[in-house]
Amino acid sequence: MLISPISCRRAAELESKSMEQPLSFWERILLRYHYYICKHVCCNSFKEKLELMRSGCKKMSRECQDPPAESPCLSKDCKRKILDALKCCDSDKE
Amino acid sequence: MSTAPQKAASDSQLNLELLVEQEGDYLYHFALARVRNQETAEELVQDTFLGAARSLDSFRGQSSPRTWLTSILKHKILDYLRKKARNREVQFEDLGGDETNAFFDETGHWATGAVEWSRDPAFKFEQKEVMNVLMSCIDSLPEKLRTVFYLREVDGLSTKELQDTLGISSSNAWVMLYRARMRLRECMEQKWFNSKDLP
Repeated sequence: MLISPISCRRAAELESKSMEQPLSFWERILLRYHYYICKHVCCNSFKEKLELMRSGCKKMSRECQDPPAESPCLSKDCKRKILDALKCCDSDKE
Repeated sequence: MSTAPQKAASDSQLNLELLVEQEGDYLYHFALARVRNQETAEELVQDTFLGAARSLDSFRGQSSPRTWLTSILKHKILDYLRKKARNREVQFEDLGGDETNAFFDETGHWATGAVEWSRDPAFKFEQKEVMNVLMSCIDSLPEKLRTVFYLREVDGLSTKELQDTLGISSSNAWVMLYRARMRLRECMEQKWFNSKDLP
């Protein structure tokens, strides 16, 4: 019976690290060997999930999407303060 | 008399007062997501509008006013976080307990349920509902993890920029991103997939 030299946990850590920088030759070998042996669905789909979350975040950033409806809003008091400050800015310019 | 809705931007002319109404909530949510303090978020939004008023000439109308204001706000947030890390008001280096232990058994094998996201054809980030679940899951992360994750994955900072801004080592950045991703994965599966009967 084949045994992986790294655990699923270590494989997940390496997969996440690979999103930041290229893994070393040895790390890549360990990861590939682990996936060859480990048949757990979580292991096999983890990389895909990380990439999906990254693509969702990029979409969020690109589209400047409105926050969910239940999100807190800028208070009226703060809006008024900003408007007052902008008026001061205008009068300074004049 | 004009019945057309008021426009905050026409060519290179901006009406900042109108933009406070139109974009204030968006900018506030943007700031709050990254600094998690209402008062600070309000101050950052106010600084953003004042900064915009001072640099109105730099707005060329090539991007939307929201994009332009957001880029000013991003710089304000980075300055704020840099200062906070420098003054050691937040110890980003302090990683705390590792909650990801719960996802594995004592031998390091997965202990949590396995969900294949591709089995649900509705699970696409083009769907607003899926995006809302993602946003709410990111918002539910603990403060430090959320800040690191937002800066890296949403704002697109490199690991090096993360290190410089938050005063953390590269290995700590990797650990924090790993923990944030693990929690997000779990949250997405609980909030999206647990409410559905997959084939």
